[in-house]
Amino acid sequence: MSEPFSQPTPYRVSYSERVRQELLRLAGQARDQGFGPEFIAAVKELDRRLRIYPQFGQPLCDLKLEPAQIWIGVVPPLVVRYVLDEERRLVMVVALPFLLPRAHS
Amino acid sequence: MTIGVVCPSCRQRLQAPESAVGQKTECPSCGTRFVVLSESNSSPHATPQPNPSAAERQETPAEESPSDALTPEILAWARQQLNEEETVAGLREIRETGGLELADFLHDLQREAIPRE
Repeated sequence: MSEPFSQPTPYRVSYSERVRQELLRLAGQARDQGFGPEFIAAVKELDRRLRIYPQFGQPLCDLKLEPAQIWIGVVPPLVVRYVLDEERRLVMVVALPFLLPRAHS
Repeated sequence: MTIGVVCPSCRQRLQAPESAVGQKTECPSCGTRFVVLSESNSSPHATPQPNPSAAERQETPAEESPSDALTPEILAWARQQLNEEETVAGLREIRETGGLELADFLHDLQREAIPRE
């Protein structure tokens, strides 16, 4: 008898408007530098990982203005910073993402 | 209580609840399915512990993984560059409105990153 395949409940991943604007700006930058498709692939993969296993990243720092911890995760060439609400199974991408220096991509 | 598990395929370090021992799971990094065992595919550094605060997190030996791209210099810059007011405003926005899903703006991103000729 085979063991049941466990599928954890995915997290909801939410982006703030400011992050959306920054991702658009980074998309243009990636296009200009010749790695637009790679950028899009990284965005999709990051979103997928945040939904399935947001702990793939690592804690970055604690906020001072409210009790929350910022996590950081990377799928080259894109780095995201996010807040993880385990209780609500919610990932909030609220800090501006950025691109890795090209040597690390 | 969580345990440390290392994917036998891509070596990504994962955390799993103790209740996952003996269960099949899928590595979120590479998609490899494997059975979570208490020791044979546990991280050599596995110690059940809650997620530490950033101030308490200890350095661990580096392993080959995409997170290696996060050098100490990049991490320091990421902390320094973080805009707390903007971050907290984003948290409030999401709590009030639900925020955006990638599907809401992926098409715009694709159009920006990959223009049609």
